[in-house]
Amino acid sequence: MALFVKHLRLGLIVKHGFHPLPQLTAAKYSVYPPHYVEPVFKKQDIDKLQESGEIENYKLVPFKAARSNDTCSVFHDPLVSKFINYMLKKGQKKIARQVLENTFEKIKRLQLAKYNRETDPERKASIIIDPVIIFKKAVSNCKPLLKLTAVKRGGSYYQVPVPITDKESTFYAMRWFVHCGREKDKAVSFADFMASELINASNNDGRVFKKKLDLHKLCEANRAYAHYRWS
Amino acid sequence: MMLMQRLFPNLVTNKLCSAKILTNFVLRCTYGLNNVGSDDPGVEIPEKKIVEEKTSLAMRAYLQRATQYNSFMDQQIHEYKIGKRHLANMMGVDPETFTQKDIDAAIGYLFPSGLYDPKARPLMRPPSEVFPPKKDAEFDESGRPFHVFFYTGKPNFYSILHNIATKLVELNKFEDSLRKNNILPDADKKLTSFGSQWLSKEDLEKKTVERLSDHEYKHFVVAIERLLNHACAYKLTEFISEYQKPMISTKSIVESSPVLYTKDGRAYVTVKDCPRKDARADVTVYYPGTGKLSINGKGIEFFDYIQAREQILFPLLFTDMIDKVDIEATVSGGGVSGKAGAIRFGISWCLCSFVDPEVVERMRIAGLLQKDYRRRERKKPGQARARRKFTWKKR
Amino acid sequence: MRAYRRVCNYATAAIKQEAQYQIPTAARTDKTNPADHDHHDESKFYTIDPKTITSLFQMGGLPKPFTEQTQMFAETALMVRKPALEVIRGLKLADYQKPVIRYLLYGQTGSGKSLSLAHILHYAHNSKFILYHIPYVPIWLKYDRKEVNWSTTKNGLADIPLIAAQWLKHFKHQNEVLLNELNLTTSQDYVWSIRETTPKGTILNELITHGINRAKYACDCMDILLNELKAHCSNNKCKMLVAVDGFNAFFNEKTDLKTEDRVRVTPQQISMVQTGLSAVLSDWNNGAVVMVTSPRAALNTKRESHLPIYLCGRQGFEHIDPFIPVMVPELTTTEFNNMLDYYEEKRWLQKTGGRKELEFLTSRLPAELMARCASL
Repeated sequence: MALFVKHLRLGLIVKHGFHPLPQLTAAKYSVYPPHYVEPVFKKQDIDKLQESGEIENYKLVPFKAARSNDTCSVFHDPLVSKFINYMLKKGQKKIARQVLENTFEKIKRLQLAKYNRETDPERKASIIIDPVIIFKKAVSNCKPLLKLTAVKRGGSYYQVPVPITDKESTFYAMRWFVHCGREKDKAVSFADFMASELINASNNDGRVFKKKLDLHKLCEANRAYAHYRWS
Repeated sequence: MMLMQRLFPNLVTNKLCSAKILTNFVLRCTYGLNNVGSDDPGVEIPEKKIVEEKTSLAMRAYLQRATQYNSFMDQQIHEYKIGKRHLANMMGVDPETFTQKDIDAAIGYLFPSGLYDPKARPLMRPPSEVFPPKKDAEFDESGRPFHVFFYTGKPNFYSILHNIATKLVELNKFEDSLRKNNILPDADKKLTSFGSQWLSKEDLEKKTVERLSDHEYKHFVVAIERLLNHACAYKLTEFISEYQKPMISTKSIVESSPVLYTKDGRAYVTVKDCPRKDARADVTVYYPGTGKLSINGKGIEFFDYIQAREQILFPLLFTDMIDKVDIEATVSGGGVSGKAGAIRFGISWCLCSFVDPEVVERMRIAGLLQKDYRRRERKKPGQARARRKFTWKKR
Repeated sequence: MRAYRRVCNYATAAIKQEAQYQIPTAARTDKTNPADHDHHDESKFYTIDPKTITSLFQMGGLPKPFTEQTQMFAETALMVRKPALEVIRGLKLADYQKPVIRYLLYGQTGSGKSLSLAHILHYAHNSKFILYHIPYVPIWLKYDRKEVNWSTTKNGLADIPLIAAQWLKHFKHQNEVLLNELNLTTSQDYVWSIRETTPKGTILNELITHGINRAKYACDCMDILLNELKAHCSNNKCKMLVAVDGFNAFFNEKTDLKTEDRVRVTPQQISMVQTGLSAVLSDWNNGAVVMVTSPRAALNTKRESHLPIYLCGRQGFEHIDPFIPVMVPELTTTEFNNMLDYYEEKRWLQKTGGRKELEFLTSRLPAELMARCASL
């Protein structure tokens, strides 16, 4: 079975402005040759491509096969799929997915109970019941803006605050949720715990939000070393 | 030996020769060869004055190697041709119209092999395909190289880079001349690289008959991309296309199955042996249908797992054909995901015959028509699993 | 059913700039008495008031996911469907002087059999039937309970005293009021031990109380109660509806129950099971029997088919033959859409559109639809 070594795409604008010639990153093995492109499986996205005319460019470009957890369904959300993957242990996708569905059900129950109890129409309208929206709000509230990297200066390592990409920061937010789950009480189920965590985070509250704030504080504390980024 | 007849002037004119198989050269040192220049071994030729040239040991060795290679290749070609005729006779076919495909079939029949790797099985190909090509003579008898860039060690490769650079300068001049006359380069004609990729490192090595390093290949790609992205690059489409190859090879287009009709006049398409991991499915889709689904005799409840059900739904939902077709599938092997993926592949390919070409293109972009060749990665020795290494212990 | 336009993913709060999505309302019927339901009410929801729910189903009878849902929505809304209407019609039109008619509800797992049975029970309750209701047979047979004793009165049969006592509580809860009205009494003396006797002429309620208090005699009490009720029904004093959910569990090959001497018992060896089997016999009139066979009740032993002959086996089938089979199918398109409208109305289903997908994924089974919509 041929394995293709994927190199960094040439012509990529490297972040920090140095390196005119892209460096060879750690080789990523792939069954597909490097020129195969990730599939676009949502109907709206393909419509957008068609409108903008970009679809013509892709006529001669081969596409990879669609993944097993991607569908064009209305109920499918890529961020939620990613989160299920982060919760995955030992490849047991069925369990991870079931746990997340239970989490969403719990969120709905909690929010619906709140909604039914609320009498003031304004506040009632502002209660969000959709678990996916709460999840997205929670993740976006907990995304850090900077992270700390260890930079070696004169024999010792300093924690230097460094900006991160949107992708990486989403990853951190979602990972913190999963890691917080490991610190939960044994009597409480993961679904219950995660439901309350997500609702709290969507209201700028809770453990994960606190973690983000702590990171920001640390970055603020280490701002003196920020210039170490550049030598 | 016949080849030694080639004249010296011939060789001199062959400056800057490209990568050809060594077909002609002169063994300058005629030391000890009395019957040179004669077909008839009996004829005695007056001994020429042997002039011992100051050819270095290295050069002599090189030229000797060249002779050997040439004679070897000639012999191989001769054997191949004769062998081909013998094979044709054995198979009872006219030797004149015996193509390479026939040869492969004949070898496959006469030497059936159970070996796993296709490259290990017996084959009979023209020697140019089997034996790696070698360069023509790179320097003359005095040791003076023919190619300008000989002393770079990779003359053909560096001449490509040099050509690119020269052409870039030309294009810049051309663009300047346009702009002097207040004409902008035609934006519509600007070249794009959609649908084509650069020659890979292996392809380039074959083209230049030189071993390249990754670093050098990257230089090449950077250079040629620079050339492509020039506003006036349309002037050099021919030159650039020499170093391009299409992304989608024509071989990879799977032919869709034919549309058949039942006795009642219903159209149906069957796709057999749809693969995904170790599962194999045969899927039949009947076109004017009502949304019935049968997998090994059961309905959708064949799959407990919601993800498997969603995968089967995917192509139907994508093409809006959920309640317009009937599906019958038999699947075996593999696990739950594999079975679901195999059926999904089958349904997608069957639906191609019942939807517009634009929708087929959309399905291709969605990744429904591509076989998923991903398999379980093997465990490697020295590691615990495919990727997981053993716990690193400091001592 | 109101027509609606497709808009993707709305939240309760967000009012989109584009066309505002109109949350649909489910089609309902105002008739709260199942006796009034007819084919016009098919696929519509009717609500049962909480008092009836507690009196009928407090100790079992409604599936657990459904009860959680009713707590969530603050109402119990049952969909009026054809199978239940068929049985109710049969109950209305039957000749009660003839021996009891047996109805069998069968269908795939999750097709709505238990809820149809609940609908029928509600009708029977309103029509002054005594309800001899076994909520779900496998509860008797599934768990390795500590107290399983060999019966003293019946040879070769085992008793599960606590379960029988619990069932008597359930029976009392459902039928106390009615029994008080009817004032039925025992027809003979029952001697439990040297000191305990239930004399002839005691009110059945007292008999039941005795069984609850003295769990040791609860199984015998059940049996006696059944016989008494059958006798009273045959004498035109009252009407009775025997309702058994998970009937095919009576004919399972084994149970998880073990006696004190760690001997495993089969369902046929349990006295309560024998009582249940005698309840469905046709040796009495002025009543009806409604049974429900469910693949789940076979407890993972029979997976091939959902048909009664496979689930009950030859012996079981011959026991209940002849009966009127009533199939509980998947939801029709109207019923399916109405169910989704109900979920949207209650703000349970948060994502609009995708109805065709749900149809495909759940193959229109109501329980599966409930499970699928839980996270959407």
